[in-house]
Amino acid sequence: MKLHSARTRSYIRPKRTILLAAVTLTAALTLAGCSAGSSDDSASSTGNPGGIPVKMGILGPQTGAYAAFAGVGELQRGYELAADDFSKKYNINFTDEVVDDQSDPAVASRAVQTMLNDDKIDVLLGPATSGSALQIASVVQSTGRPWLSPSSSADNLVDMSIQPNWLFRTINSNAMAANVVGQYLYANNAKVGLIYSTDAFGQSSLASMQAYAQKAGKDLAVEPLAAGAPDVSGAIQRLKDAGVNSLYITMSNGADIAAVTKAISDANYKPNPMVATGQAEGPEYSNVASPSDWANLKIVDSRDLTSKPVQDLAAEYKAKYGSPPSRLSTVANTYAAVQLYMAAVAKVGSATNYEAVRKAMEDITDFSSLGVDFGTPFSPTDHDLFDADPSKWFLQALDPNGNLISTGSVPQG
Amino acid sequence: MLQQILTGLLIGSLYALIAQSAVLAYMTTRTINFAVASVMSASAFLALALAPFDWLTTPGRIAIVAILATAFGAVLFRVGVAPFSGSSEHDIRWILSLVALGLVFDDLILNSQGGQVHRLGYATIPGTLTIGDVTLSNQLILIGVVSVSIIGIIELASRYTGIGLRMRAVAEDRGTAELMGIRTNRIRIGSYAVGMIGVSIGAVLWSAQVGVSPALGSPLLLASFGAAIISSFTSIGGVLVGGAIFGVVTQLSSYIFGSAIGQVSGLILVILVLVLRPQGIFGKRALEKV
Repeated sequence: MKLHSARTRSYIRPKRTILLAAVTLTAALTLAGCSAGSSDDSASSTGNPGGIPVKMGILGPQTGAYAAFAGVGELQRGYELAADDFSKKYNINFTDEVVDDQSDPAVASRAVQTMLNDDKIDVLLGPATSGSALQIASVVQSTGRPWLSPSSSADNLVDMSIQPNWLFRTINSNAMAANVVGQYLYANNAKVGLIYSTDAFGQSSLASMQAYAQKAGKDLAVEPLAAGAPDVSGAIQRLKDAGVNSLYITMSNGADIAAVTKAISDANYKPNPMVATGQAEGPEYSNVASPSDWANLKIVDSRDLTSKPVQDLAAEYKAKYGSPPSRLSTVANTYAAVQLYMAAVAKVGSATNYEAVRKAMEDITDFSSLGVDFGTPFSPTDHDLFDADPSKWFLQALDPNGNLISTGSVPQG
Repeated sequence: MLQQILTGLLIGSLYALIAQSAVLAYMTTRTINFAVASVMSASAFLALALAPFDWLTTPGRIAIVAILATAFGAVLFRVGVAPFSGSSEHDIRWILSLVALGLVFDDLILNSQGGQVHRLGYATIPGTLTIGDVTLSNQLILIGVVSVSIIGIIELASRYTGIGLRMRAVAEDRGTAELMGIRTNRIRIGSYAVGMIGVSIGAVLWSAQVGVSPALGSPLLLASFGAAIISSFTSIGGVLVGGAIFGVVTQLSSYIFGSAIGQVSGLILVILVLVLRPQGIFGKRALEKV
């Protein structure tokens, strides 16, 4: 009898444990799945009820490697802020669909086909990263749908040999940045180095800087770094030993820029100038780095993020979402992109006449956004909002409290 | 060159601190905790949640994190491993289970805490120590001292305490240990739990250096498994040597050949070890009776 009892227990207990495991796993999966991972996560509406209906598709990482620092959130919030501010003026009523590309270009490619063909979006916003944007480019161009890209800076993304061209970019390209920063860094015959991330953004930055250096007949020392690399001191020591005294840091992630500047500080290495891309402008950098790490750091951007209109947008963002933007430049660029699109739809009177909307975006004149007068932002041969004129670019820095301060336009050597 | 070697030794000690959890788990359960990166992220966010409690000292906060991580480790074993281990050596459902649990917790952390990197604000010694031409980060030195201490304590406990003796008995032969009256399940669950002490403390000290984020653990996972493979999955103290070798090789390669080579050099070394000495430096070659 005792033996039977023991056997019964040993039979039942594993089943109960498996049941416990299954219930726990299911509950956890349900919780985790509430807001991420699927390709048709959420749909909501915002704007002017009764206005011109527009279905906005927003694509970017909510999960995967880039979700932590280049997530879809800033695109969505920039769009919502623009919709709040302009939907009445342009009489637009948005419905939107936010889709997770899982930080994977292949997933982005599948997702965008569903968005275009099944979900019938009228306009695509995103993806947030260059890798995914490059992957979906041919699909969107061949389908023919207005496409707004406020955060993908890869040079070959905007290819104006493709006509009609559906992509409108409201962030500077890496080549523009290389042209502006290159003139600054190479002043006084400095020995220039580049630290770049080994992803699509970093590779594109490398190609742009190498092209600039080659054209200018200059040398460029380069060091690639993987995102989240545990220690970067070897790369820093190589640059120091190579005599690099003018440094450009192009990493996808502010935390990685923090690792670089911390290693520079620890190595008592003082490149001057030391310039980083906009990823260092916000808390993803300043939350990790120390004031001594950024004392010598300049942040280059095609926008003056310290201007009153942009700071007002940041305040609006904080009031609406409860925390400051992690990437203010992405929010501002998204805001401008949606504002441009709304103006074009209002002019056409419909969002579904895609060719007319595309043409209207090319024909917009007297456009200003967030205090910047862009005049004629696009043309049939130019779909980039920004250009490589150094006088229109800005250098910014962080004060000891981590707040962004302006140090003026980019000086040229 | 000396700079790279010393930095490699210190960063290698962090890999070792994480690797000891894999060794403890493997010795007693023949499984590897693939959810350890999630434990690191969770520990860092827990430490962040304790930051506002000024009345808690830094060691007090770290102790709370370590205790909760220990419980987390026990739950991971109970839910993710125990139901699937023991039926057969070839039953590998625990791998899927642990990987799935890790992904679930990663998702939970990301969606509940957001993707931003946060400053921990304590458990850090700012500045550097300069000796001659060598400059080392104080935080890395702290991590090195803590790692060696924790691994040393676990190694000594495994050799000279009753629990350690029982653990080694389970590692040697679980069936015989059971016949000897050892409650093997307690030892197995304990191994998962104790391993998390070092992992959580390492996570707190590392996040004080690089910030608290959901992606904290992933970059360290491969390196720590590499350290365990190089030394052996059956030697607790040996992971210090495995971690040191992995750290020094990657640092020196980064310096001599550039970061692109440096980042993969450790993994190439791991492959070489797997080919030439699969049992690792301190492991014994398994002999099979035919």
